[in-house]
Amino acid sequence: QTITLRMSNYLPPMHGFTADFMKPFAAELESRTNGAVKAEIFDATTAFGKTERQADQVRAGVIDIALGLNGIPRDRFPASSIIEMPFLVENAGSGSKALWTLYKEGALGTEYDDFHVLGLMTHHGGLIHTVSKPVRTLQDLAGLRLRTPSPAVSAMLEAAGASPVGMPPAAIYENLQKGALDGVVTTWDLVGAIKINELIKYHTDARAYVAGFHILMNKKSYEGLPADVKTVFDDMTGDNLVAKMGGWWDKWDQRGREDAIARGNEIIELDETARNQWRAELEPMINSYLDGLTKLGVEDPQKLYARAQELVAQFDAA
Amino acid sequence: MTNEWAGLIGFAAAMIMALLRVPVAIAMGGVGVVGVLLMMDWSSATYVMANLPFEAISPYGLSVVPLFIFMGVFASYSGLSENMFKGIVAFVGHRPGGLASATVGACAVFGAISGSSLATSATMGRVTLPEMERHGYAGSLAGASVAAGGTLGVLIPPSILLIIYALMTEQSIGVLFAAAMIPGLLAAGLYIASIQIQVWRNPALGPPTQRHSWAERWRAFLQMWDAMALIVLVIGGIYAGLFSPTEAAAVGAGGAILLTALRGQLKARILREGMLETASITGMIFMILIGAALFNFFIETSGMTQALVNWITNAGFAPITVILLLLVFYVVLGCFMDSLSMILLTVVPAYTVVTGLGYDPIWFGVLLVSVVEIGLITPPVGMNLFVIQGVAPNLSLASLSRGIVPFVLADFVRIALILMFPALTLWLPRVLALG
Amino acid sequence: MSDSSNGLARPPGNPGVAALDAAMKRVTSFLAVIGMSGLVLAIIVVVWDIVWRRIGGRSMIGTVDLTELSVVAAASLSIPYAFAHGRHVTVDLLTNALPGGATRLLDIAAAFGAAVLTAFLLWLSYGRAMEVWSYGDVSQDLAIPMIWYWALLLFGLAASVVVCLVNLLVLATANWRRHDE
Ligand code: NA
Ligand code: NA
Repeated sequence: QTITLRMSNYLPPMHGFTADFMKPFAAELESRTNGAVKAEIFDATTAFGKTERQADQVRAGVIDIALGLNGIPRDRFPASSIIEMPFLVENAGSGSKALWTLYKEGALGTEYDDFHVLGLMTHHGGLIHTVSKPVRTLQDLAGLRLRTPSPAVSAMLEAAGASPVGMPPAAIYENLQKGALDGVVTTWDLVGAIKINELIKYHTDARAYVAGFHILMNKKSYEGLPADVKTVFDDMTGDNLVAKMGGWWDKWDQRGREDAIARGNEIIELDETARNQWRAELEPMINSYLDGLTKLGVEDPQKLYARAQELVAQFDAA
Repeated sequence: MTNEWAGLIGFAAAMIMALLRVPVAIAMGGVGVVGVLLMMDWSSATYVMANLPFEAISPYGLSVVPLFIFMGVFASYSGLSENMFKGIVAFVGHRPGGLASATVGACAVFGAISGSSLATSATMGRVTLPEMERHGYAGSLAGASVAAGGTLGVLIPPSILLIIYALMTEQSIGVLFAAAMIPGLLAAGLYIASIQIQVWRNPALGPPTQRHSWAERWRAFLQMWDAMALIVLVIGGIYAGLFSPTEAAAVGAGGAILLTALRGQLKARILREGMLETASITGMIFMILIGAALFNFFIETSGMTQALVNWITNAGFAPITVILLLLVFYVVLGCFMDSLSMILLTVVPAYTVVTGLGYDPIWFGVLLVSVVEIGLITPPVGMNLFVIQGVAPNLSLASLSRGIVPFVLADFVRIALILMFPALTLWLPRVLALG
Repeated sequence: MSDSSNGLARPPGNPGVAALDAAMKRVTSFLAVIGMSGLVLAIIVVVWDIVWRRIGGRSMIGTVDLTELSVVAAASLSIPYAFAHGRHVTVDLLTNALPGGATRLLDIAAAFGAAVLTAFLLWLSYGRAMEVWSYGDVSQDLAIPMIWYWALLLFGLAASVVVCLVNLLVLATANWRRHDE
């Protein structure tokens, strides 16, 4: 008797979430269980592809496995949001491992208690992409209207005197084209996917922030797996899954970056001194964000932040 | 019975219910709910459907719909649209069908801004239908001109459908916008040609007014200042980067209220009547959106669309036959499904096969968006026809359905031209050196 | 604007029902005006944001959240109005060919179907709204509790159920004979 697992994510089917994670995962699962387990994949073109519902539909048991964004709906995973602090994570590999280690250590509290967690992830440090005004220093941000990916980045932009604007990815291109936005704070991955290098001239590689992602499974679906399948499943998830994430983001970011270089766009590298200086100037904003987390039920945000810094440094060095 | 057949049966059931006087939104929603409950387990079905009404009315991008309707209603109450029409009459009224042709042009401009077929038909219908009626135009021609004109906005950039196609297939939004420009203008031109042929055959459809002297035209033009100011504000603001296309709707609505006040028309009674009229059109459209969301989920669950696309693409037909069958499929599907859902459900398999056959992905995107819009105006069931009927209740759907036929034929001519001459889409992006 | 132009034809019937019908129309008109006032607020917020970012160089974060809230209000509160005034689009192609009795039965069936569907959607949305409430979900920029958005939809659907039931009552008790003559 075959088991069919329903897997979902919120991006278009050509994105790596489906192409590099879900499809190969399903294929490997099927072959390693000799066809006992198959997977059906739902993406943004389906009713199960809504960004804000990925975790909920797993909890409801409508979907067995989902990849979602920690920040949407906001404040669902407040302890995990620590990893999104400005200038904390540069690299998807160490960011993912650090967040995953925090989870395994129990430092993230109870926020994933309803789920069987298969993995946690961050992307590579995001950039500031601008149309006509290069951002070389923190001061250059003043007065710019920038599309923000998350409340944490909004706070950072406001602290620097920029105007954060929230809007769906589908609206970015024409707002840049019409001049209603001066730029976007995001990954190379999204820049490549929505082809905004056609409009963007400057990329400030500040590695300023990351977003957190979860890959969650319904508890009952997991517990219902036969013992031999469970063994295969455990081997394909957790540490082994998290280990793949750095390489995935290298691949997903590559297209946007190479396209920018090919077009002769200027990539402004921010050295470690500059990053440290930005981070120091944003200290008050970081502290007030951490204080806010207490209200959302996070026990000791400062301690969690310190531990996250430690882990990131440890995995960066490895 | 397989789910795919259930999908076809549900499609027919919704159509029959609508023909038996069940409100269209209720017919679609009812078939959607029952169909999903029959095909899917209770908890999954209710879980997804519990989100659909909220998601149907809450997206930010939809804010243009009530706001532009608001603008149209107040433009009409304040006498803005009447003055605007006096100007149009002075310049083109003496030509047979001139007002209908001018309306198509205005729909193209308005649609280009709003990017929404429903908002365009509702707003322009509210503004232009009473004026055309006053000048003796047949309701069938006037209503059909607006219903057809409403579809132009989706092709003339900016266009949310082109954006969705671009995102799902990883094409450039900028290139697609450029590629759709000429086909969009071609569509408007063909609609106007269709109007001219109709009034040439039957002058009673769009009788000419008396010819105006240049002095009269100049005076009428000056009287249009406030309407022109509003248009310049909305369009100019978008192109100057002062505000986004979505925000333009709020600016336009605010401008219409302001001008109503400046003309001393903003009395409590007018405000209340204008609000109630905006509410009745808004309520009608959003209830249809809720019904359509439930119906679309049913069609998605049935797998009917995917199965049909797979059949068309795997039956071993010649490439051009595949394209033609896909076009027929989209026109038929368009009876009940909204354009966005149709594209989402089918774009990936259709795109993969069509580009696999060697066709250009940009060309196919423009063709696809052109053809899914035709379903909005094909009788007896087409969203734009319903919207016109909602705005002009005395116009029967029967006469509207008769009036729309020449416009549907104009669409077929356009599709044929895009098929035969790929340069119509591919030339402009190349000249602009995009991509 | 004619109330009986499409959808429900309303011949005079039982005076009590007629009074109920009139009261329902007044209430839905009131709701519609409130919903549209939400739209006016959205206009003010957006225009203020545009002006402020040109003059002040800063923009209000959260214009999107407020616009969405006002559109949810406008849509939710205008749907019952459209039901009450028979403005939901009905296809009239076959009407003339059918005998009056058949049309009447079809209209009663349609009103019943509308009542059942809106009630089912109300029940579904209520469940999801309670879930949204229990998670304490808030809007993305301004952190407005999402339950406010949902409450507007629930209110609009509940009002629609009541309106559909009154419509059903009006149709069932209508004095059809006089109307047919
Ligand atoms: Na458009
Ligand atoms: Na149709």
